Amino acid sequence: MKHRRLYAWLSAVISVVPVALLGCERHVNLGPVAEAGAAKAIHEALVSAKANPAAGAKTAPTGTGWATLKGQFVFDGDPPPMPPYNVTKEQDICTVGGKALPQEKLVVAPDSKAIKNVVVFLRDPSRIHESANPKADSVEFDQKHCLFLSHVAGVTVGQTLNIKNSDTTGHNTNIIGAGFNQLIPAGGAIPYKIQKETQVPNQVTCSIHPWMTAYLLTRKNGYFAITGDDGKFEIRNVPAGEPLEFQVWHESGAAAGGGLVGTTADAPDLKWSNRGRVAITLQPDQVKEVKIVVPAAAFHL
Amino acid sequence: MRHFWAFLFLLVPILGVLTFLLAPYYNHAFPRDISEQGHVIDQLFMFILSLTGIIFVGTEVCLFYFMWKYNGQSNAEPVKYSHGSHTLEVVWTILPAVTLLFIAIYQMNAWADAKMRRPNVPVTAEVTGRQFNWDVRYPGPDGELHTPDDIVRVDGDIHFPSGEEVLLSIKSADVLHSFFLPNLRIKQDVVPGMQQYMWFKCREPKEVVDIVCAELCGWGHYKMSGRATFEPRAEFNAWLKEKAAEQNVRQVAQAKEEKKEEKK
Amino acid sequence: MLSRSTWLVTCVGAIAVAGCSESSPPFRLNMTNVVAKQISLDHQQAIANILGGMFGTPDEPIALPETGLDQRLLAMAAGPVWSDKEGGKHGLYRRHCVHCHGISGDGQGPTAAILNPYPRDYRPGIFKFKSTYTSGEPTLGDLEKTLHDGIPGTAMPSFALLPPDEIRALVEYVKYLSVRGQMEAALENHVAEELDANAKFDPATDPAVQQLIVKDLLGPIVESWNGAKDQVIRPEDGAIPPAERPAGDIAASVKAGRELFFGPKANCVKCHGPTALGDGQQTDYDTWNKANFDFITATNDKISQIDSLRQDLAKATGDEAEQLRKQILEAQAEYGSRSKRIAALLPPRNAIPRNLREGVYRGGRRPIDIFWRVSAGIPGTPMPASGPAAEGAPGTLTQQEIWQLVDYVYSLPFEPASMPQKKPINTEVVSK
Repeated sequence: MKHRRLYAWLSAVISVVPVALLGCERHVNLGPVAEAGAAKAIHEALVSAKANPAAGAKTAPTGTGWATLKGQFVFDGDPPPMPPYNVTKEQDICTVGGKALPQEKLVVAPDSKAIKNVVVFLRDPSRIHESANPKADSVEFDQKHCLFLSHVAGVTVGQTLNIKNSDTTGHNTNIIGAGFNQLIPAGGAIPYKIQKETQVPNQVTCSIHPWMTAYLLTRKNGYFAITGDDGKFEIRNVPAGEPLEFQVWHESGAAAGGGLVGTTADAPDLKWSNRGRVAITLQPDQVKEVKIVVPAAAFHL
Repeated sequence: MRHFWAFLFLLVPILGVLTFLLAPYYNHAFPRDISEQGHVIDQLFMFILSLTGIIFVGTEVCLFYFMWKYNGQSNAEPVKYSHGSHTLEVVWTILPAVTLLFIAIYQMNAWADAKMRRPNVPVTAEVTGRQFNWDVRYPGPDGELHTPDDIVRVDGDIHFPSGEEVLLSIKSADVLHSFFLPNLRIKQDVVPGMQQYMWFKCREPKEVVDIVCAELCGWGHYKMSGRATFEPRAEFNAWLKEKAAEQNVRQVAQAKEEKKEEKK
Repeated sequence: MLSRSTWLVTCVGAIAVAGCSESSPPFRLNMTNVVAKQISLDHQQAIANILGGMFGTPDEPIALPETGLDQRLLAMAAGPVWSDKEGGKHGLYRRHCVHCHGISGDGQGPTAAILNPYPRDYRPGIFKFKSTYTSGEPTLGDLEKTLHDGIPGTAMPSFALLPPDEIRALVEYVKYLSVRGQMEAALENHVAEELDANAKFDPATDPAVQQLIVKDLLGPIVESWNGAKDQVIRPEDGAIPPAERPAGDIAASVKAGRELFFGPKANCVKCHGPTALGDGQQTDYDTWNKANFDFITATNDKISQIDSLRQDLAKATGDEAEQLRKQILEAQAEYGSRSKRIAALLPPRNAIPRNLREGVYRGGRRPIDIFWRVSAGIPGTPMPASGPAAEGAPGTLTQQEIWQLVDYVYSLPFEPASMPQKKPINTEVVSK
């Protein structure tokens, strides 16, 4: 009888140990695993796809003529005040009169409420007007007072970004995701030829002055615009007579990937998605002007 | 089987002795000794092994005898307990104490040779254990360590001159490691923050042997293997020169990865 | 009672055995990216299947012809660990690498958490120590060198004692894991940017998707790897200092390098510190840690977003309130999945600039190695390039100046630091 009790205890202990071990594993979602059958089917399809290289042409143009979209971004309500940059070093160079400049996460004109630095670009155009062909010239990208002077810049592939440094201290310009990170000597300039298109502007930073931030949009065509102090943008000669999709982006946009969702009450033909994309079809030679009102909730600050 | 337990316990000395006798035939004995001083360690080992072997066999045979004689199935007589024998206790305390004292004195010279009488030669190389690699630094032409002409090797391919005293300065960059050259019967624990030396002499002109890390605790020490090549002084110097040149590469065409790339 | 306990033991034993014998570990997705991009479950499965079709499994890797990978070498490196009768070694990656670098090369093997620096995550295809321009992939020779010499100053040991064909196989497998990881990122990016949550994404039936993944997504990745050979930075013969130089020349070069180190052109002092102990700018992250850091920051931002939505809700009525309630629920769900993910992340660590006085050079100690580090910077880290960004582009420093910096770096471990000027982090100590 004694032995039996011992066995029972032993088995209880043995049974608890593996359960305890299993229980210790953290509950982490490891994600899906490839299904063997589906993977095999895909593999076979890819291997045989080379035999018929048809298929896969980009969206064919369905319309003719060209149109223009222009407008203005306006903040709805009172924008939050911007704190100054956290300047931790070289106060004499990186501040103006000892005072750090305000951050540019959201720049709104005090009277007109116009929003600066909103990016609008056309996604996957089916055809490109010659005026929107990529350029090959040089675009200035300067830094002064340890800030990038163009907080949001846009260029086409093939253009050269002339990265200048008008400070008396050295900077390095790190275009994250582009594989570019080079020293820019004080008072000097380094040209950088744009290679790749981006769907979302790349962040640009300086490792030496970690508060420095800018954004660089690189596109294969000229169908993009960045709003200035007046919050206005204009994209000319976009394909007319066919559905277009514009992406609206802002560095503090709350939607996925920095998308900015506005409202266009006076233009019901603009269809907004929850990622800050606008669908519209323009008529040939139409000049569509819209006022886009952006609520505070569309930004996360 | 009346004497099952007695025979079972008799297996212990039989198998134990057999293991030791057969080990050399299965290549589990000592690795080949290529060092000048290693035979001293081997002799000490064999002496202590024989001593403990005799005691081991004697004890085990005693155990067998008692189990045989006082087997429960053939003895109806109840167990008798005694308080013990004072004389016996004195004997089995003094005997081992004297034996241990003897070993301690007997091995003193070997210990001093291995750990205390550092030869008066310049340091051949500095070995640094890190998680998990042995990095080796040879003094350059100026003969001094930690000068710009040092030759640093991190690939575990370590060369030493044969036929002469090799003096290593050895340290650790992080945790405990143990630098072990089995074929030279030499092993040195390295302790972070402690500067230690080890020395040995290879009597064979040309040998390639293993370096291992004998540190047991920690997950990566087994990866700290290396290869020690002993070669005559002239060849060793030529090797050092070659590595110094390799370390001084300024042109892409001379870099070894480039050469490999071109071969493809 | 005895029979019951026997039954119990058997039963529990069976469960324990079944639970432990996961014989072939699968590739997993980069769940941090998946969660950050809010990719739907169907699309996650679709991405896993596509990667399975293109790259196979850890036991049976596939070298799709478009990738240019070598099937024979991959087979040598992949699969479980075993040795054949002739002593041939199999499963090399799992024998030597997996416990740090993880089965999918994510740098999250079981020992990763106790190592500093963390093991490399191959999936972004960024390698620090290489001979090519900043944006280029490493050459196979670069990766072989890393395996051969290890990375001094880290837990990466040397594998020089492995036969050359085994090293070659491991390099091929690292490249395979990188290409696979880059492809995964491209797929996740495509799905998140271009597809609606319930859009179908199956190359087995849709030739357009086949075209997309092989040409548009895989194409540039493979091109970059194949082009690495032509991206090697070759110092000009005229600028290379001769192997044997008079001491006076070296001293002059070191002096010039020192000027550059502290000067506003090269600006090394800002990060490596006035004493070169690496005590300058220490709060930045490398690209791998930054991904985790950004994920954690964005997750914490969700809390304030939910708060502000709640405040709006208190004021709102009718349809608007309904809308806000929906948004709050969505934000809460996203916060939930994100915070669960954070538990699995290695805590982000700052990129600390190298202490140049130790004389430990992670990417190799030959002058050409240091030249490459200074010229191309160290990709993935805050260390910027001071040479040109591509063949023919202008560099910040001339090659001669870079060689002067190389000489200065070599002199630093031996330069008397008689007046240690170590100052607290992030304060300016050098006057202009």
